[in-house]
Formats: sequence, structure tokens, C-alpha cells
Amino acid sequence: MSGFIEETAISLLTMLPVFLLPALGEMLGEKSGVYNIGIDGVMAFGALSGVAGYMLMYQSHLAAMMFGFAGGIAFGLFNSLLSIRFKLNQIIVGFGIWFFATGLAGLVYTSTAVKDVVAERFTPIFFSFDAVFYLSIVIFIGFYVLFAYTKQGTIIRAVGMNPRAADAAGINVDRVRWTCATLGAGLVGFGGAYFAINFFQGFTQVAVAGYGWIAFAIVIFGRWRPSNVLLGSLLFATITGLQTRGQVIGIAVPSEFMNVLPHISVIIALTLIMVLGGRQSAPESLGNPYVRE
Amino acid sequence: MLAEFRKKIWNTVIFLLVIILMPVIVLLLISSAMELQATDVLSYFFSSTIGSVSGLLSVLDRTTILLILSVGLMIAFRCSTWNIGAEGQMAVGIVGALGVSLFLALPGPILIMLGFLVSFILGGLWGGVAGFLKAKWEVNEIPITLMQNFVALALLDYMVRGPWRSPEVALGRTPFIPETARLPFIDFPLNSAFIIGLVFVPMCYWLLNNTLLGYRLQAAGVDRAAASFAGINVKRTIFLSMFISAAIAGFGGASLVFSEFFMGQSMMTGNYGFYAIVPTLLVGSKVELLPFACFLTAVILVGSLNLSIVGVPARFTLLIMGTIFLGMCLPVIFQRKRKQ
Repeated sequence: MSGFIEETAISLLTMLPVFLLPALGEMLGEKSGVYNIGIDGVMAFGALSGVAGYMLMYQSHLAAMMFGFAGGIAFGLFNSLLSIRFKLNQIIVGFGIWFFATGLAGLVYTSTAVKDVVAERFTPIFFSFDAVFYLSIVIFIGFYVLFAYTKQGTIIRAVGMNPRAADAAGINVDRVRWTCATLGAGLVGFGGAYFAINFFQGFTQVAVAGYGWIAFAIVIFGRWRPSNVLLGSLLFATITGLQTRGQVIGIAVPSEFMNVLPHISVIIALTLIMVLGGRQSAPESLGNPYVRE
Repeated sequence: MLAEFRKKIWNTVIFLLVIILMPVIVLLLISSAMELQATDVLSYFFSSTIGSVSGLLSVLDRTTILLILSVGLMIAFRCSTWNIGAEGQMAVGIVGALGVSLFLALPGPILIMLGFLVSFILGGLWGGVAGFLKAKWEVNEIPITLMQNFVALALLDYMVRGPWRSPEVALGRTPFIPETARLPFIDFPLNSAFIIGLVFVPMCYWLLNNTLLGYRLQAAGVDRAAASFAGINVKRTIFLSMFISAAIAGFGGASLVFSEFFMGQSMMTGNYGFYAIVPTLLVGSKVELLPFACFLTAVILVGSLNLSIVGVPARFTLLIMGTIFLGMCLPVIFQRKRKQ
């Protein structure tokens, strides 16, 4: 019995980095006031560049993750250029990046050797979890410390809440936003690369369909706090894990509906958190470009 | 005065350059990457879309559904409610239209009208959920409408593979709807539903610019707080914008049933709910330009689909869409540069 419970717990937890890494990345950008609406596309592109890196760098998992990170960074720079430098509507820019990144990933996938890659999964190092799992926990702790105890965390919060006041206090608002939005997108790509390699063993067209958006929702669900984002990621890792296990056990629900279990959960979870949560806790200047007077 | 006029001309020139050059550049890059003759690719793209009568007809046919959906999206976007659930709202509309036309024994015209009405209401209620959540508890509508897509598409999938499956065929699809309940073709493949799509544009223009509701929608879209101070019931306006937008998307789903498929099958929504975002954002607030933007989007869709025959992967549709999207940002950037 204990073996069964352990096995279930492990299978539920393995999905954690897939949600935690992109959600933390999205949170970092949003904390500084910049949306990354293209998160789903960036995650797909990170997945593709991760698999490409795996292929080009002689089956190296490290290279795969670095490539995924770099793929995310590329779109993070792009988003920062349009949203921060040129102060365009972040939602419209995000839609553009979503389409562009998804399309680019799909095109490269169908027209190059990436489609033939069958990657090996990450090898477990400790308690049947792999290095990326532990890395994501470390990154989480880093985020927690950053926002709870450090000056830099306060600066990021200030820039996201009231950029004018932050500017008056001598903070370079645009530089903080560039850094946060770009590194955040890098984490999104990083998570995408892990997802593709560990769960699909390569890139497939449906690889990240919708998972980036779930990460986007987790940030709202977690009310922009690292510890709540972790809880949200655990919740959705469990739900997706249950979904696959439910199919194994053979629960008598049509598979069409089992497949959308995570998506229904997002709707319910977001509604519940807003109904029960009371006051808004989004960074006050989220989505507003800062124009210096 | 002259400076303003020159600026307008300058903007239009950039706009046209972007929407024509971007696809061409992407096509050239792809054909060089695929080691295909660039001129072949371009001429095939041209002849399969606007360069031949049959191509033009299929482009106009694609324009229909894009036009209906974009008009719906326009109403939500003008109110700054970001409805990206048109795909799912369309699927719900399809289920409604199929439910009516497969099971009710009524004369054709009544069946069609009833089908459109049911899908209009069902689509509206489906999207209205997101509108209600947004208005009542400020639940972010972007993830909600996006997640609703997956649920609605699963519902359509389930209906056409399960209860409504045609017994005669192995494939998961419903039986055909009665011959009398099909909208006539103007010239195959262009269906008379195209006229419905065109009629939607002046209706949308009128709604946004000549009615109280349209004024409220746009005021709430620009600044929620200011609209509220001016006495507008912002919550009700947000809900209505989402309801109408989703209802029109549901209507679009019915038009797919009555003018194109004449039955139900999975994947019949064909991502149009997402593609329609492009022309809608492309025209900004200028509803009257919507037919041209939808036509252009349809050219890209039809052209890229046909290019898969010459060996170019069809996946690049989204890529071109994204490029145009981002190319749209160029005029704004130019303006800002000139101001500085």
C-alpha cells in the first residue's frame, strides 16, 4: 500500500516543474509591470529550441535546457523591446508573439530534422526526481527570498506598483523591467524545454498546447506571491497527474472530458480565488507602460 | 493641416507595405530555406488566391467566417474585454445549430433561422459566463475564455463521435442536415452566407458609433473609472460586450453548418476563432476596413494551405499572422521616432 501511495505521489509531483518554472517566470515579469501574454508561444518555442539543442549538442540534456532558456530569452528581449522601449499595448504585442512563436516553432519542427528526435528522459538522481525538479525548487526558494528579504525584490515590486515613485527614488524603471521581463521569458522557455524532453521525448505539435496558459492562470491564482504560485503549481500538477492516472485506472468518463479536466479546473480555481479572495493583489501598474515626464 | 495629411499618407503607405511585404518576405525566407524556386512559390501563392477565379472564390468563402467572427471580436475588443474564446463559442454554436437542424422536422427556411437563433443564444450564454465572471468578480477573461475553448471543442468532439454520430460511416461525424436547410451557393465554393457576413459590418459600425450601447462600450473600453464616473454601468457594459461578441461567434458556428459542412465533425472550427483576432486588431477602431483586413487574412490562409501542395509546410500560416501582427507595430514605432 505504501508503495502505491509513494508511486502515486511521485507521478503527481513529476509535473511540478512544467508549471512552476513558467509560472515563476511569468510572475517575475508581471511583478515588474510587464505582461507576457505570448507565454504559450514562448513555451512552445522554448520546447522546440530545447529539442533542437539536444539534437545539435550530441544528446546533451544540459544543452537542451540552455537552448530552451535562450529561446525564451530571445522572445523576452523582443517583448521588452516592443512593450517597454516602444510602449505598445502589451496585450496586442503578446497576441503577436503568441502567434509568431507558435508558428515559428511549428514551421521549424515540420521542416527540419527536429521532428525525428526521440530524446531520452532525464535520469532521476534522488528519490526518483531529476535534477530539473530540484532546480525548480531551488529557483522557487530564490524567488521567495528575493521578494521577501532583499532590496532588489522591493525594487521590482515598487516598479510594478508605482513606477513614477520608483523613478523619483532614483530607480531606472526601464532597466528593471527589461531584466525581469527577459529573464522571466527565459524561465518560460526553460520550462518548455523540460516539458518537451521529459514528457514527449521530443517536440510534437500539441506539445505545449494550453500549458503555458495554465501557467499564466497560476500566477493570477497565486496572487503574485511565490508561495501561492508554488501551491497553484502543485494543484495543477496533481490535476494533470490525476488525469493521466484516471485514464490508466479507467474511470468511466468519456476521454474527451478527462482531457479537459485541467482546463475546467483553471476556470473553477480562478473564479473561486476571485470570489473568496477579496481585494485585488495584482501589481498596480501591470500592463501600463511607464512614460517619463 | 498639410503635415497631418502627409502623416496620414505616410501611415497608410507603411500599413500597406507591412501587410503586403511581410508575407512576401516570410515566403521568400521559407522558400530559400526549403531550397525551392522563390518565383515558383510566389506565383503559385498568387495564382491560387487572387490570381484566378476559383482562387478568388475560395478566398471570398474564407472571408465569410472571418468577417462574422471579427465583427464579434471587435465588439469585445472595443470594450477592452479580450475575448480569445471565439473558437469555443463557435463550437457551441455548431452544437446548437446541429441540434436544431438534425432533429427538428421543420420547413427549411424556418430551420435555418431557428438554428441561427439557437446558436446565437447558446454562444452568447457560453461567452457570457466569462463576461459575468469578469463583471462580477474581476476574473481575468483571457485565461477563462481560452480555457473555455478546450471545453467547448471537447463537447463538440463528444457529440459528433458519440450521441450524434452518423450510423452509416465509420468516421466520427453526424449525418447530413436536410437539403432544404442548406444556404445556396452563389458560385461554388462561395456561399450566400458571404452576404450575411457583409451585412454584419454596417450593423457593427452602427452599433458602435450610433447607439448608446456602443458609446458605453467604447467609453468603458478607454477608461473604466472615467466611464463609471460619467454614470455608465460598467459591469453591465462589460457583460453585454462579452455576451454579444460570443453570440456573434456562435452565429458564425451556425453559418459553418448551414453554408459549408452541412453536418458536424470534429475540428470543423479550423482555428478561425484565433485567426480572426488578426484582422480585428489590424483595423483598430475602423470597422469599415474590416472586410479588407479579413480578405487579406483569407488570402494568406488559402494561399498557405495551397502551398502545402508544392511542398511548403502548411504550418507557416500562424507565422505569417504573427509577422503581420508585429509588423503592425512599425507605424507606431515610426511615429514615436519622428516625435522625438
